[in-house]
Amino acid sequence: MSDSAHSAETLLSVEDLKVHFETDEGIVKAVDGVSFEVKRGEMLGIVGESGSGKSVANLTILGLTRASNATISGRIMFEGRDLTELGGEELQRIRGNEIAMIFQDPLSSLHPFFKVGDQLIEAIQVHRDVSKEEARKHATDLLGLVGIPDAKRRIGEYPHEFSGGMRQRVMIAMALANDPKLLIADEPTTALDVTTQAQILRLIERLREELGMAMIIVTHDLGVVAEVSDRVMVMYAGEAVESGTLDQIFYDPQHPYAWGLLGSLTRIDRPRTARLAQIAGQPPSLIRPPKGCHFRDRCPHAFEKCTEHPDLEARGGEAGHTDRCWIDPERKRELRVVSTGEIGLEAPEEVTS
Amino acid sequence: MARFIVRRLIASIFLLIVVSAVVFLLFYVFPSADPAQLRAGRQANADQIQAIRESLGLDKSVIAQFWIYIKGVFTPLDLPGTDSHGPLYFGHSYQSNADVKDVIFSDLPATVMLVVGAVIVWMGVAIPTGIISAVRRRSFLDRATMITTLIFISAPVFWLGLVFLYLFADDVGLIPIFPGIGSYGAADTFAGKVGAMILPWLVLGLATAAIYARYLRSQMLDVMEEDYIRTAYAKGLPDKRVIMKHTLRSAITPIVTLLGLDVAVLLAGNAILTETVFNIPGVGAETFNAIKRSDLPMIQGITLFGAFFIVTLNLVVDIAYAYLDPRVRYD
Amino acid sequence: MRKKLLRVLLPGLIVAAAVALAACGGSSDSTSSSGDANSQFAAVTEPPSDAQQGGDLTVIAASDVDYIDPGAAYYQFTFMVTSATQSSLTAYAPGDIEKASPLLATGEPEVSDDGKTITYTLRDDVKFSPPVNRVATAADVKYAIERSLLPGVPNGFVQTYLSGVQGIDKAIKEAQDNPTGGAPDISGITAPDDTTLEIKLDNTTSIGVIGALSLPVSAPVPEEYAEKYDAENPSTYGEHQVATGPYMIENDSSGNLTGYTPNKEIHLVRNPNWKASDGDFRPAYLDDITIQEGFADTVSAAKKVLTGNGLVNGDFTTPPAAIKQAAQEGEEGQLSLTPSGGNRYVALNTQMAPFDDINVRKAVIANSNRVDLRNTRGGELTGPVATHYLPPDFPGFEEGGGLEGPDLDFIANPEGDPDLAAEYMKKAGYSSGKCEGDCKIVMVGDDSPPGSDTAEVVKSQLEQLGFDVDLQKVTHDIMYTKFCSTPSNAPQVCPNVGWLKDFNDGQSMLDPTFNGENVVPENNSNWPQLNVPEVNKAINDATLIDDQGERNQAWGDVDTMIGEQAPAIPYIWDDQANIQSADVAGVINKANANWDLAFTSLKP
Repeated sequence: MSDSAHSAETLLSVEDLKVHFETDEGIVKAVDGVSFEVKRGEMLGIVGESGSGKSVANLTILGLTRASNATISGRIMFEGRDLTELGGEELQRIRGNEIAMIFQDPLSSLHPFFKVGDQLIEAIQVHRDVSKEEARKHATDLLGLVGIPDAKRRIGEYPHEFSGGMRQRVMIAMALANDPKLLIADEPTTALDVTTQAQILRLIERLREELGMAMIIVTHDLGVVAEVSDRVMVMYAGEAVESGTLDQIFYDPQHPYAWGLLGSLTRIDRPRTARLAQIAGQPPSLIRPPKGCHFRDRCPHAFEKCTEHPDLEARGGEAGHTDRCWIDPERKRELRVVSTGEIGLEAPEEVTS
Repeated sequence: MARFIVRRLIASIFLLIVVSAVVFLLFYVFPSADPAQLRAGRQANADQIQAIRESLGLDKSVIAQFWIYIKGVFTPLDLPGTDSHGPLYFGHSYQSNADVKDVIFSDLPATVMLVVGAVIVWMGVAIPTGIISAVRRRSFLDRATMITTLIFISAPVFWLGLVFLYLFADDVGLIPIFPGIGSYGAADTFAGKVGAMILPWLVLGLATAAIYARYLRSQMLDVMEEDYIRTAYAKGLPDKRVIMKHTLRSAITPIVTLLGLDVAVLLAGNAILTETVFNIPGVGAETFNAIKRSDLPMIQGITLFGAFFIVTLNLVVDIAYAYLDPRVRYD
Repeated sequence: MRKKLLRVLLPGLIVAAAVALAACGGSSDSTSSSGDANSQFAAVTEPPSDAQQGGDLTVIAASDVDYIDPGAAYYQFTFMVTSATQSSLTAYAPGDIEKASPLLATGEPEVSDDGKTITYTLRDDVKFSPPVNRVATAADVKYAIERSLLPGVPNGFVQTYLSGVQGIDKAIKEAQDNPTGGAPDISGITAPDDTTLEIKLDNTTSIGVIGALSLPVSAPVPEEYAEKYDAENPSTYGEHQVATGPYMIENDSSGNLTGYTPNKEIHLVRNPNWKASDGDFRPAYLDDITIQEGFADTVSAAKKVLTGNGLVNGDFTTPPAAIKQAAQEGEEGQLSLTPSGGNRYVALNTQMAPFDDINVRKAVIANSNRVDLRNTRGGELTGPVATHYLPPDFPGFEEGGGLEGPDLDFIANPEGDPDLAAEYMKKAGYSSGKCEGDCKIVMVGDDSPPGSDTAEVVKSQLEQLGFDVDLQKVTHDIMYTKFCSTPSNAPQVCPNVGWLKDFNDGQSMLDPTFNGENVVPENNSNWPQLNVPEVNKAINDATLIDDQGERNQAWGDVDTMIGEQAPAIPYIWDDQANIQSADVAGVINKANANWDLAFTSLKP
């Protein structure tokens, strides 16, 4: 993991962000009071199941939560500006320029009717006053940078002529086009096969080191986080339930939900067991989440105290390691071990082979 | 692509033969008036009717008639010493005795003018309307537009035509500003004909625009949900560019298919109601007359021409599609 | 001409017009069966004394002429054109009712004492229009008649009315054997000199022949110019015709018509070779006449005529809604109602049970409310309720009973007489006064208003008598050609038939339609298939009478005899409703029940 000491300055600070959607069934609290910080050059991993609010939170940073029924509150401070207060044009200047984003599905994230070169050139020219020729040269360099061979030729091809991994490289190239200070990668490898995943992650890691930008990687897969992140935030039902350094989360997870995530992790350094742990039950309703701890219904260790809503705070772990679980830290250490050396929630009885 | 086109053209010819056969069959299977008796007049005796039947070739078997017809249409050359008539010989009208091909060609300019103008009106109205409605989804403007389009879609063109006539025609209208019924035929100059087309263009254009506007709106809304539109925003592109370039480009592609078919069908005589209401002497009005008079060669000719337009424009649409959507390739 | 009748009187198919018709029919509560109520709209048959020379007129029409060739012309609307462009031997002047006036002829045709030779003396000052430019002669008239026998000139009436002309059968056969061999010679027609035309007959059928020759078939045709066109089948002389009237269809120097586009337009210009003369009764005020076709919606077309300038209606009768508007809001003279010379009736098939029993037929007629039937066509303004078959303003009409009708109890009450109907049913053996047992009846009617409305009313009237009616609806043309005019396939009831005269003589009204000898396997016009020897004989005898007064009486009597046989329910004598713009001084040709273009002018 890279040395984050070269700059401790905060680049992005999200404070008590709430994103609520008004629907016929009620208010969907997709993001409900999330706070986090990203320092310059730092890589933050945000982990959670789908529907935990992690993607919405990040789209909101870029002002891409466009639904007319959304209400957004809280502050998103980026280099001294509150992004929630900015007008459309100011946001446009930040998007793709100071903050760039890459998305989950490279197959559908590129416009199928335009050549990749043109899509890159467009991304460059919208923020830089350069000629088309200069932009094209820059675009070719970018494709080379992200490891696309024969970039000169391929720049004239359409997205469907690229493989999934290659398309994600194009997406990354596009995101890097204007040397962003912050890159948000939303499930950048989920749609890819395992080999390609590894290649893309290595690429991201390499680029971050070369370019020194800060990054948020959003994923449901702790494995991805494990490879690249400095710090990790675990989200559940619109809230952060645990936050700490990568080592803290991996070696001393505090929240039973994090145990579940860790348990479901396929680890190549351990023999695969039939008892691959899963988290039983369904994610809670975001309209009427359980009172108290939102994870209570799925938690095998829930007790009376859990009907009270726990704050995100340090609870006996190292400094800066916060969580939302009422269980006594000592007890947690016993509970989270499933079998020797394995961390996770107790697997449900009916686990299938 | 070339091979694709050749293959399609060959298939088209077979398709046209099949269409001819179907029309022929329909005419003989379903009850229709006896053209020989209609042409002969009420006092004609059996010999006279028989003579007319022979001169029209109706005394021959259906198969023989069909064969003569197919030969006429598809024999490419006017071979001296044979009974061939050169390409596209559709026979003569039972009623007016005019060469069907000549009649259709003489009808085409009016229909083409009607359709081209109407297309300009309907695309000109539908594209902005569809875009604005989609972008301002659920706004008052959107709802008002969608209700208006619903009215235009539900209203029969015939009725709409009469309403426009009684409102705006300079002969029978309350606010006499545009030339009315029959003014196309009465006009001697091109400018006069353009004037005569204003109301028909509006009626056909607006009626169709309503359908297109709704279709475009729903296409736009679908495309706006696409990941690549989110990407476009994430790139920092201005909203206008995202909508007018990225969204519209995708949303309009299926419209092109629709447009091609609609234009073909209208050229094929489907502007029958508009042409009838405004008395525009085009293919549609000819269809109306031909059906009224059981004029088989005329019906047959118009149908085949129509099929030809539809087949051709379908091909054009498919080729255009390959250019519009780079994922589509024919080989 | 049935089809043509359809086009004159039933340009239906158009929803708007149909709705208007139905609505109007339904709302009319008038029970008047008299035509007198409409006398304020009586036709003007003379031009105003200060009629203005010059000006352009546009005729608004729904459809085209039947044949542009005057030799085949057999339709009211076509006659409207030919009366302006051609000079037949005689022709009906606007006010003529009983017989036509001399036109190409210098005077009345002379009929020899034995009644078997007709001699016309022709004017020597009638010239063909360009490119022929020569004086028309008797030989040109002989050629015109002869060419009308060619299969390529499908004349619909010559073979019927001229069947008594010597040598015509041989000529017909010759033409049919060799359709492209030129016009056949009719030995009974000779032209001893340029101004004399002699017609020899086998029989004393001169009135029928003279009547038929008042139609445009007797307009001269120059053989040397026309023969190449007549050698084609069909002939293309129509598209290259020359004129002998005050107007001609615009053409180019080689004679090609440039002023005619089928279904679209007929453009008449002045014939430079025509000069006003004492011999020609036509004043020809207008300079230019455009007939614009294709106005399928007659409601808006009528409105256009009423509110516009320089317009008259052509082939369509004004729909009831527009008639009402014209009657109430129009300026005086914009609307005129003229007996069309046509009738409409519900034919009862006398050859099929149960209508082979005359008492059943009488019961059906007695039961019928004919006012209701008329209302389906638009009510009082569309014409009087018919009581017999010869129409008003027609020779023999008064002799046949006038508006009141013959003295027959079952036709006496226009609103029907159910009690009388029951009596006749009892006479027919139905003791309850209604049909019992197998009462199934097939009826084939129109599928579009107003015909379909009439058919529905007839159906309900038959059901009142206990009949189980199976009404099949098809298009008007199919109704005729496939069913009602094909006796082998004819149903028991044909509710939508009718007849329009060819010329003003009883023969043209009653012979094709009720003479049992004229029932043919196809194209039959005797729809009731009435075949009563006494009636047939009376008809045949009447055709041979060459004294006009006697003849009218005879046709009147025939009319009554037919009525006594109860072959049909006559329910309307159509009035043709013609309209003109306020600035037009239109003149109606009564015999043609339409505008006479050669007499019409624009108001100064």
